[in-house]
Amino acid sequence: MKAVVQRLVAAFGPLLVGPVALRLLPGLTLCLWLGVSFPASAADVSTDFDAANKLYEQGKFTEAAAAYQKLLTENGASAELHFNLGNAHFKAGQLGRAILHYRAAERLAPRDPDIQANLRFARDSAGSGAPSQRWWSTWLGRLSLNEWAWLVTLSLWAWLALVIAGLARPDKKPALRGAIKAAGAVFVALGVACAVTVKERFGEKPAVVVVPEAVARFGPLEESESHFNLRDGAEVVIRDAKDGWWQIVDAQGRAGWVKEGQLVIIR
Amino acid sequence: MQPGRSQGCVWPQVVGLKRRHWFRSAAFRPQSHAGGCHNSNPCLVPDPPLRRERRAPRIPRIVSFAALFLLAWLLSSAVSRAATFTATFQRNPITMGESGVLVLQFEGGEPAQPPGVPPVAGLTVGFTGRAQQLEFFNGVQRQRTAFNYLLSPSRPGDYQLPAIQATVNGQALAAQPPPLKVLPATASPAQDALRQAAFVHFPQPKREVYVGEKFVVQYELHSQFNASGNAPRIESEGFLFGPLIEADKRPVSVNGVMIQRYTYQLTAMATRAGDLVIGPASTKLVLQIPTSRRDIFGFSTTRQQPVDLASELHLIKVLPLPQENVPADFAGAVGSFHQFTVEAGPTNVAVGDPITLRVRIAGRGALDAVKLDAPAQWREFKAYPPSVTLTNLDQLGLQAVKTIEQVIVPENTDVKALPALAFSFFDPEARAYRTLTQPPIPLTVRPGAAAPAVPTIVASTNQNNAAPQQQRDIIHIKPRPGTLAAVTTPWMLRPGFWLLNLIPVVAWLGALLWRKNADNLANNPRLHRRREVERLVREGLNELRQQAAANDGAEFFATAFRLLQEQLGERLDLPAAAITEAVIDERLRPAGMDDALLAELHALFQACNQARYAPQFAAGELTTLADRLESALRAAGAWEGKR
Repeated sequence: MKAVVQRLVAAFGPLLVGPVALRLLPGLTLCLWLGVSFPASAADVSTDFDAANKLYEQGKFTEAAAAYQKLLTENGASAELHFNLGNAHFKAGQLGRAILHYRAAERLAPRDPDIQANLRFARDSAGSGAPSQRWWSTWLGRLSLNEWAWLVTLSLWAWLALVIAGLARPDKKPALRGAIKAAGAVFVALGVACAVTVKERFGEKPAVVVVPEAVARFGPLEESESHFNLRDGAEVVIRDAKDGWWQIVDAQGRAGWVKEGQLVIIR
Repeated sequence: MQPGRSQGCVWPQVVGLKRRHWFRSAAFRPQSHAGGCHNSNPCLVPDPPLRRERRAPRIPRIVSFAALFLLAWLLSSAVSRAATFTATFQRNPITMGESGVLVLQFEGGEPAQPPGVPPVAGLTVGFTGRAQQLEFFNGVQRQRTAFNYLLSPSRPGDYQLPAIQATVNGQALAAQPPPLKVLPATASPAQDALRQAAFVHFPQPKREVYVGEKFVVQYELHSQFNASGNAPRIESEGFLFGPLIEADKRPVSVNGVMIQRYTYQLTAMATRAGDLVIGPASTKLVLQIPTSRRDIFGFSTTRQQPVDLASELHLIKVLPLPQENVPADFAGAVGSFHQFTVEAGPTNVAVGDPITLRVRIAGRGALDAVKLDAPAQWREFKAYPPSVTLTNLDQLGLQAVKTIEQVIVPENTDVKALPALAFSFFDPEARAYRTLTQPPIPLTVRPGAAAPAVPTIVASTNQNNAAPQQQRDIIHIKPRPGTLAAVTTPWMLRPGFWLLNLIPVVAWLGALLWRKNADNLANNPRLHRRREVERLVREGLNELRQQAAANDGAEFFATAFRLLQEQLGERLDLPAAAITEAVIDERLRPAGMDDALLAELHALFQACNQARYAPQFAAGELTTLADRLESALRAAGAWEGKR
């Protein structure tokens, strides 16, 4: 076995760190960074955006919302676009849709104070408080998912760079040992935080009521008895789906079935 | 029994048993027989009755129990799978003016459609809804489905409904409801109380209401005895109910019997049009019913009697709001509102100075949803979010006053007056829309001297949600769209992200392999020397070619000699300097090197020696020697002789 490993090492070791790999590595890395970090298309939509803003300033909130939505559908999303769309819905009296877009904006820019303020204001207007969160959810939510991904990537690269340096220069390894351990611990911690964030993001399906009143029933049938009512802007979590009905749990922990069209999932 | 073979003995011959199945049994006993039976050959006589015994395979007891249990479970499941159908009334008898509720209950299945109730003269039947209940009993899931029908009689008497048919899972079922007894209207609830210890009476509320119209619902709890429990609650689909109040509590006398009557009121508002069922008002009480026994102190004792009470149901026709002549500013207010006043002050301001607008709306109806949107749409004013107070004028919240205060700021000197304000609502009493208006309020707006002191809308910058400054409106829109990304998939779900993070891992693996290789070489000097010699030979041969081409004999043979020393020294694990021609015979031949190779090596060494003393070469000789040397060095390098 040892002889086999030695032969493998002799055959492939130079290939991995040999001249060919070293020449290819920077180019490959650059391509991947570009592919990951830059958006697929960054459209210049200032004109349409300004036109939508103008509608908003004129008080034509419904038309402004439609214009923002068109931009969103055709050109993609940004925190600013979701924010403005949320404002337009709020002014048009559609609290549920306003909260929906504020939350979408918050996911893209979790530390933007304007977004947080408007989301809080909209929730107060809807009479629904923020959904209860565990303490680590609040802390982890300070960074977006992409930011966590960046941090994990950087920490992994830093850690492995130190490890590789230790392998290349064994005489320096004792001096690098502390840094390697610290970098490894940082990577593990960031990796765990990122994994928890991903689980919280994709493990639950939060949704918002977007109709003036949604009736939550005991069962997924029109004939089922009503259990409780939800107002426009109420934030819920979807647990199950059946035949055009969603089983939801509201902020007070009550479970019921609501018709699909009365809720929109926060993506 | 027939005589056996042995003489004098009666051998048992069991009918049906072959001789080889004969065995001693407790049913047999030896019988001494004169002249023939011996101890060694006992005669056995069976004791009647003779039992036929077989050796049967034993079934373990636990398997038997398991089989029995499985059979019982299968049977119970089979029984439970069979559907059942019953028809009962929620209350029977009922009084004229009340409605009865027919409940068709299915268990173990349900029909695809609500069963049809055959018509009965004098009885109006209406389907009100379906309810489902799941139960788990002894590990078996049971589903019960109930179809409810409202029956409204047109006259007192007994009504016998025919059997009701239904098909469940292909099985035809029928249920016969009991006769429904309708008492005359003169039968008062109080007389009922003589027959029932407690009941809830729910008189018919308004028969027709509009969507969004608030109306009062009242019901009474009667109890002959002291009772503990909660007030009756009413929940009905399609209605929103206000807070419940106890409007009255008094004893009433009925035929000399004192009965406690509790009157409850609350407001209800229909949220959709159609024929809706309201009720029942229900509760659970515990009655303290006196007994004839007395305690040790001579006081009378009571027994506790729990009761479930439910009132009548009623049908209410909910009318949709008319679609004609709807005012443009109608926002959904339904009721009878008699007051709409508007005040504004100050009226002499500079541009940018705030003006407080105060609007009061009073009346009967659903005021909580009433909003004032007009000021936000005034182009020459900047309007801030209003503050709203709602003051109920009665306990039910039916009559109330809503005060809306809003700060508005004129933005230029062209403003001469506050625009007229209007409030439109639907009056269900008049069955028409009405609009209350207030005329414009004159204003004097001077040019602003300094920067206006406008309220600041501050966003919280504290992530820990510390109490923010009072925010009165949402923060304004962003002027720039930011970077729009068409691909919204998070990075960590893209393959590129994982490939990117694979690079350092691969690099680390490569470095690890390289480190291992280096360590192997460091720990294996022979291997290290071998690789070094291979490199030297490779480079040396190139030099030889060049020297041969240049016909530089001195350098050529020096290089050749050096290469021979290095290669043979590596093979023999001797210092290169120690290698001479003598080594060929002293070391290589005993180690088993090929004779031809040995001869060639001899010849090459001799050529090198000769070149020192007679450096004369023919054209091409060096090249030929280089070829021979290369072959010999390769052969020597591949040689793995004995050490």
